[in-house]
Amino acid sequence: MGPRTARRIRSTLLHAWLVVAVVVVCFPLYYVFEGALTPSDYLHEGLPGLVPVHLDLGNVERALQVAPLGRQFLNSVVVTLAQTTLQVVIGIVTAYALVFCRLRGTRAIFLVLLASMMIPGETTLIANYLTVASWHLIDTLLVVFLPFVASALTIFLFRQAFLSFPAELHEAAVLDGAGHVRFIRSMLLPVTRPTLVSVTLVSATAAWNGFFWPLLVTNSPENRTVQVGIAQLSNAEASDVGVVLAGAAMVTLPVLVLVLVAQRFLAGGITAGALK
Amino acid sequence: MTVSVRPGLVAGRQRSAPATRSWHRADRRVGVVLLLPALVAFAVFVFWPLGRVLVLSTQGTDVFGQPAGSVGLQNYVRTFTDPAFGRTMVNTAVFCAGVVAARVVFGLLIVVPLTAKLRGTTVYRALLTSPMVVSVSAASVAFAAMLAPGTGLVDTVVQQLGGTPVPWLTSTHWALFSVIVVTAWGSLGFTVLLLLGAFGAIDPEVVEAAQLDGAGPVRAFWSVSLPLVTPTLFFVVVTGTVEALTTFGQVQILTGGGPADSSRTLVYAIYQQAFGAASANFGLAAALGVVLFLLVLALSLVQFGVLEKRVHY
Repeated sequence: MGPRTARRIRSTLLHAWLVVAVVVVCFPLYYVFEGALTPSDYLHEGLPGLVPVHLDLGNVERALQVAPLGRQFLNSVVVTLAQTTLQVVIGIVTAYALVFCRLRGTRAIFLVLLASMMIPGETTLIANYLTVASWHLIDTLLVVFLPFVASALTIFLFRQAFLSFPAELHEAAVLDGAGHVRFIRSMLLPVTRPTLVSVTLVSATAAWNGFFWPLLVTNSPENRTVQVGIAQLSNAEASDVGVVLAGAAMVTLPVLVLVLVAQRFLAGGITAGALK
Repeated sequence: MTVSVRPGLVAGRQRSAPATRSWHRADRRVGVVLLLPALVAFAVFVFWPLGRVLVLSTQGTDVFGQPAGSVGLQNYVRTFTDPAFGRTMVNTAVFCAGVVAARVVFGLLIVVPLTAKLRGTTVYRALLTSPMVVSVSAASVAFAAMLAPGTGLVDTVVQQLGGTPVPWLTSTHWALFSVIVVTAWGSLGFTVLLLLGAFGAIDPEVVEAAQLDGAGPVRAFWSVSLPLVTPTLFFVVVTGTVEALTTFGQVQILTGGGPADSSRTLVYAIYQQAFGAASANFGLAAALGVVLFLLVLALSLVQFGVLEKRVHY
């Protein structure tokens, strides 16, 4: 057997293995979208139900009727917009202060932010729940994003990007009389745009996907986020597989579209704090 | 998402000489104002609640479920002497070990063939990282539908193929396993992404040199490539453990900690203790919360101590 044949066999085996991996890894995602569009009667048939030949929107329509998923979807959009905007704006101004304002004790502040990352939210949420309950904010949209207006990760990522901003450019802007706002808007952010885009996408995805805290602090169906909504739909309508999958598809589609549109940015943003 | 910071991030860059003195003073005032929102947010929603949980863990709970009166270390004594706590911690350990092992093993099994420079690598990469877009909630409800005992897709197909259905979510033998599978599936995409970055950063010449010295592909992988990605593997193990430790949604949606508490993990025990309808006891929940905090703190310190000093190969 020559080396070329050996190489061909090897690459065929690798392809076969990767195809198997893709089928296994992607199957649940396929099932969510295929099942969302296939009537439950067909889904209950097992293997034949996996062939996408009976597609219609019946599941989606029923899902919107049995739970206020439309309203909850809107709630999630509001929460995501508010949380992302605040996280990004606070991330920018905090990182700007740390990098450009020549403050004393920035290292101490930095260590405080670092320390905050070692405190699990699942520990503090007991006390946070009591705090927001004493402020009479339970079952409002405000409380769903309020504890997350500042994110240490977001601040770190902006700080990292700002540190690589050329000092000469900053000095030139200062000598030209540019104020803080003008410098940030017309120089700093345009130069660090890739970071801005990826951090925004990561923040938005995390905000959209939140589950534990929104579950705790909202009660009424019309104030739930859509992530909590589909969990309750799955509980209440467990026998109607199609409806459950329609709910799962509804919450997945926006993120999927976002990732397809900006995959390069998103991949960089997720691993930026982690990769060596 | 669990988070780490690169070593270079901690030390700030030296900025060049000052331009004007008065500008700097005004600058500092602006800086302090700009820092305030973040500092207030962290104080109110991270540090103050941590202190409050520490205090709560030494307090009792009155009949209305409100904190009342100091009870010393009683909550801890009650927690540590409760056999249910032992079972919870065993479940948590099994869960974390299972999820992390699955991430590392399947991550490597996917990423290593992807580094072989095959055609279509970009497509494979996009498809194999795609589960990242699915939220915990959506993944859990989808798997709950697939694994529904007897009637779900998996059992239906098992029966069609002549097998006996498995009670994936309602048997004490399978419930924790099923939650591990769903959690590992959800975090596999991120693992693949991290490992792809690590393998991509290996200098091809190093591997070629090893092969010129007579190492076969298997030997080159074990002795050259794998040691070079150990920092990333270590990162996946430590942050993956923290992530697994703090898993909630999958347990809540798939099994509710059951049956017979067989899939109750530490975080789920906190939830049940603080917010469970029958047993709202913030004192006991806070004691469990402190245990969780100490575990996460220890892992974070290991990460910063070992990984950030880059004590790898």
